[in-house]
Amino acid sequence: MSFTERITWTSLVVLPVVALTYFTVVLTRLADAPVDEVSWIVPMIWAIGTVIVGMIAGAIAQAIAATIASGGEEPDTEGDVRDKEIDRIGEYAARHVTSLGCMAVIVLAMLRADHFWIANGVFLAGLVGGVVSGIVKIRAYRRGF
Amino acid sequence: MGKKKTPNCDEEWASMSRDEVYNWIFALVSLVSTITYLAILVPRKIGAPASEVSYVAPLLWVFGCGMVVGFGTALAVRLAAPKDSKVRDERDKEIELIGQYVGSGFVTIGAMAALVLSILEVDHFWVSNSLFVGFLFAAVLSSFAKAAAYRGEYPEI
Repeated sequence: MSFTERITWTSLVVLPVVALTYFTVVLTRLADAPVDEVSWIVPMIWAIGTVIVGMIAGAIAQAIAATIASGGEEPDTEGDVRDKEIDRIGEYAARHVTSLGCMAVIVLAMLRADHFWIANGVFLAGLVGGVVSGIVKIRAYRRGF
Repeated sequence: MGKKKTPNCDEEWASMSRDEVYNWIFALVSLVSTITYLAILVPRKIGAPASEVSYVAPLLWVFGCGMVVGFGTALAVRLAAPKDSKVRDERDKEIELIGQYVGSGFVTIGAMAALVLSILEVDHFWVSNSLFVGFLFAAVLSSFAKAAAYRGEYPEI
């Protein structure tokens, strides 16, 4: 398994876990209070921070594991042509998902919906895009493309 | 688009795959749309508070007209194209991926800006427009990157 494939797996663990936790917290709050009183900003900043830290920690852990496994040799973190091709295919799929989500958000913004819905719409679109990209990439790694 | 009767242009036309012609249409439509939208929006914004600028109608018009003109022209090309013209091959697919990859940065920037703006509870004018202008810039950049890639200048990514 190449280093970039391992990173893709890391994102498929980090993103769904963060998304589930975040939306559980926020939707529980939303059930108890009107939209404009729900405090979602701090959880969202935590969620974004967790994704960033989780991905970096994951990459470092993978790099250390790969170095130990190969007996001290530095792992190839750049990836080869195939890794790049798969990356493009994954990003291409993600872009379509995220773009559709963002178009829905533009409609919400034009209707002057509460900022809660707009921010969470963008956030959801980004998270779903990230997960879709991960799934498409893993499919491409495992089954070819 | 290959309308001139010179043999050179006909050869050019014949050497283009339909995807490349579609891409040129998309490139021109997205460029004209972006310029038109900004030309309407910027004067309206100057001197008016964001909450009073009416941008919804221009946004919908630019989007709608872009779609109709783009798909209309593409359909016309489809009907006018020689029967044996190339449709799509591996190279077209590869260029499509590269083009989208190049442009997607702007969608991401627009979305991240919209997220930050709505966290700061900035007026909806800015939120809508950061997203929409992000889309427009992405469309322009990716279609011109694709046009360049067709002519042999693959961007380094």
